[in-house]
Amino acid sequence: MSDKPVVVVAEDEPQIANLVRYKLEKSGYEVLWGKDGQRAWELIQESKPDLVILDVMMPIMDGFEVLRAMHDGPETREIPAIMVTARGMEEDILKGFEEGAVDYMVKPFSVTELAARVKATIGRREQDTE
Amino acid sequence: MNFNSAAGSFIIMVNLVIFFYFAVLNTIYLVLFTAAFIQTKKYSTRRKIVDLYEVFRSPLTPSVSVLIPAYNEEADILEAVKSTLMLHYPHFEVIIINDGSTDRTLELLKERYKLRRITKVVQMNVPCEHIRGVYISTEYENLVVVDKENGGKSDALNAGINVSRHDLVCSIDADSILEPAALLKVARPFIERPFDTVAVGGIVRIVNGCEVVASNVTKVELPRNYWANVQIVEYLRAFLGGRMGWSALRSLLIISGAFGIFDRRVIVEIGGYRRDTVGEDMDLVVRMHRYLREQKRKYRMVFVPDPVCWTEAPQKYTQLGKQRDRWQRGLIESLTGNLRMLFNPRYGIIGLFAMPYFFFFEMIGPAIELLGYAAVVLAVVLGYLNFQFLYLFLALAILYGVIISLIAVYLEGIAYKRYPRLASLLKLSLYSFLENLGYRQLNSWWRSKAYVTYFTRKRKWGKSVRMGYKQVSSYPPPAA
Amino acid sequence: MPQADVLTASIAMAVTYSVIGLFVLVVFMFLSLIVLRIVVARRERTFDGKVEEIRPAVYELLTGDSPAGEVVAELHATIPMQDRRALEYVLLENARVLKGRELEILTMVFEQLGYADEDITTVRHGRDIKKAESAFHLGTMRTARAVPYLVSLLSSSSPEVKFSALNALSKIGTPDAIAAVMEYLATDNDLETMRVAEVILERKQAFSPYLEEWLKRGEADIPRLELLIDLVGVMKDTKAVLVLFDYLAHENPAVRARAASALGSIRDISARDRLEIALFDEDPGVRAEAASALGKVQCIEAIPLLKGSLADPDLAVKMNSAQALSQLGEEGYAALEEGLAASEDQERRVVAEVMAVQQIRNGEGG
Repeated sequence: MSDKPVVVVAEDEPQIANLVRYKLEKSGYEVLWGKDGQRAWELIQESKPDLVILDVMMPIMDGFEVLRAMHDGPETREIPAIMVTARGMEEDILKGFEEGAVDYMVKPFSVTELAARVKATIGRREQDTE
Repeated sequence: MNFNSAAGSFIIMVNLVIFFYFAVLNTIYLVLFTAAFIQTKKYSTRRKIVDLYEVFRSPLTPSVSVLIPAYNEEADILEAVKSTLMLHYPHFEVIIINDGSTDRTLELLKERYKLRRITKVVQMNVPCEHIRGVYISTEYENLVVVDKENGGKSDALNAGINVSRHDLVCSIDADSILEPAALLKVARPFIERPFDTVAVGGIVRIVNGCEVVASNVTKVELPRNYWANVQIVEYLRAFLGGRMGWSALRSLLIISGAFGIFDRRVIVEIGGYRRDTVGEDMDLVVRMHRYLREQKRKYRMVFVPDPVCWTEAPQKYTQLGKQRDRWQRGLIESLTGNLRMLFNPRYGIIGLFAMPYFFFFEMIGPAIELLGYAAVVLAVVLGYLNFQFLYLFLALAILYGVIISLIAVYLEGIAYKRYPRLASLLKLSLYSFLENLGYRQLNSWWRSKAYVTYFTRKRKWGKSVRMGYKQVSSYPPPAA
Repeated sequence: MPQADVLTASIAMAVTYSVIGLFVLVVFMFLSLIVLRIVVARRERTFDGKVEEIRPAVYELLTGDSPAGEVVAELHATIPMQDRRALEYVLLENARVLKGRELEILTMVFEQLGYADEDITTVRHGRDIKKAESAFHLGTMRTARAVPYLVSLLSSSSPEVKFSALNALSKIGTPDAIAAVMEYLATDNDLETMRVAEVILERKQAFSPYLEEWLKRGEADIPRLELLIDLVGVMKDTKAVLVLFDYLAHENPAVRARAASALGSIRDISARDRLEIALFDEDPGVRAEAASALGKVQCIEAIPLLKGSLADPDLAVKMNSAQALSQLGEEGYAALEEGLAASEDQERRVVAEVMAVQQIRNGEGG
């Protein structure tokens, strides 16, 4: 059992996933990668991560579906999710928040910024549970 | 001149016509392939420098109504709808038209998507059978289900057109498996030239033998079944070479019903899909050409040399025969319904080149081919033909055909590389031979027989049995 | 005649041999394809391997704390010549998805390791396909000093090259680049819509003044004018509102309709009066767009007018008016409800539909 916080990254583009994983591992997280929605959802159920980074457009199950599934499951409901997408349209951002995401990033993005948001979100949650 | 030598000359004349036919047909294919190759190269260069996802982000991307006509599709409908809803596209609606199914198609949809009935205002822009009800989903904002009395596929599509309010309509079959980026790919020509483009089609591939997970094709492999393989080669020839080539010559006459996208207003202006034909997809495109040219409007129909859709090919002799019979009848109906376009300069290259080609080589062609084989055999047996001519016949009728099929497989290997394994390419090249030795002749036989069925007026929207690809479904099967 | 027979027989043989010859040619092509496949597959595997090795180094660069200068020098020393392509690939794949400081780092590496020079040389002297690719690279990497060379590409005969250059210039976004792009767009006749849109939407703020200027000057070609108006609407350019008012009075109904639609997208309440007037335009398309726009602009005062439009003979106008009313809060909804008692059948049904959809979307029972 590792002390490191676990982050599941759901992203179908390997170049983005690799970079995000590198940065997060460097920052001290354990990173699990799901390259489609279904795999990501399985990983979430298995590992009960501290945070999920979800790409909206993924094959098999898209980001919103994964969010919905997380919301329906009692053990996964509390896990915070950051959505990442190529779209910056208002409706999508709203939909993401409606479905339970805690944050939203638009591509092109900054890895440093993403890492900062991850840190803030996990930190906030730890504070909440203390 | 005695009887023998007169008959002899006649038979030799017939044979020369046959040789000429094969020579011209295959040479036309060579020309089409060359045009197709050039266009495909241009398209791949563009693909390298433009991101398809910029189409996705652009707010100018037009809205699309995806129409899925369904008749007794309880086995597949949920999977089909799910995969269609997951298409990568910014603004689209999915309209499923339940064409009076007698099974649980509608019930399954109601349950799964939490449908609610609404009183939708439907303008009968094009004719269709009575619409019993329109439902929307409480879960998915862009899902609409139309329940209507049975009327056939064209009728269902027309109902969908009446209910749709977007600018573009995309008609797909319930068993088409779509690539996630399919709409993006076929919408691009509309965005590039919004005032000209009226119809776009893409490459349809055969899914038999591939691994499919939740309506995504995860592994592309060749099947084991002979019929499926020989059809794959045929599709490569017909789509990669044929359709792409015609499109490059601005003479696209067919956009597959498995996946096609059209300007809705034009379809309404020509009265929608024709309901008394089995070849509604070709008939629509031919009538679009006719109408737009009569109106003297500048327009273009584009074929995107990019795979967008997968479909299942029949794997049994009887099913395949029925399918080819239906296709040929559809072809006959589309052409005979628009005979005035033949050789008519008013219809430009369509009237002067494309329609005559289809008339002679696709409609009458199969009969000529059969006649040809018979005539040659007769001539050799009766001693009117010497061996040089026999070799010539074999070369033109068979070897030339093999060459064309091989080139199609070659184009696939060099431009698309969708079959990653080398062994697949070799297998397909073997089937290039097999396609021309037996399959093609069998096809000619089926297509010639179609005349009989055409004249005995059998018009039914036939259903084929599902089989052929390994489906790893993420859905539990409907409770019996 | 014997001679005729011999002649036809030899023609027959000649044709037969040509077909056989063609066959042999195709077989050769095939064999070469197979060889090519094997060679390419091997090369791709090696390339992929190198890319895998290089990625961590680049990631380190992007995420590390050590000054960029040091890491770059290290990169320079450790990557042998044959891995240059792999490194370029990794730089580009990351530049596509990143922004801010990270993109700046990548741009710097791209410049310092000589890739920018290579691409600029290709842009000046290479084949068209290569020019287009290099232009694309320079755009992705925001190489500002390439601007003059990219501008010269705009006079190429190849549409792919022109588009690449436009795209790159718009991404780079310096004032010179933007000016060159706008000048080209204003004068080129063979414009493909999407290329314009993609290029312009990359850099909205920079392009707005030019678009406003262009709109003011006017455009004779109606399709281009329509596109221009759409773009201005989509970019939510509030400064264009006044010019759009003029277009609301254009002689062409399609243009008027587009202008109304654009005003709706921009959502500037000052358009209210003009839109209310447009609600009575003779063309139904214009009326429909005006109704839709009034909803988007949140014009409460227009409620009575929109209620009146529910009785319009054109279905789209009815529909859009009903939609607009449903977006105008309680008052709007109340006015809509009154439509249920209308005398005309279609009007009642339109209202019923819009209300039903609204209820379902809000999660109430159906």
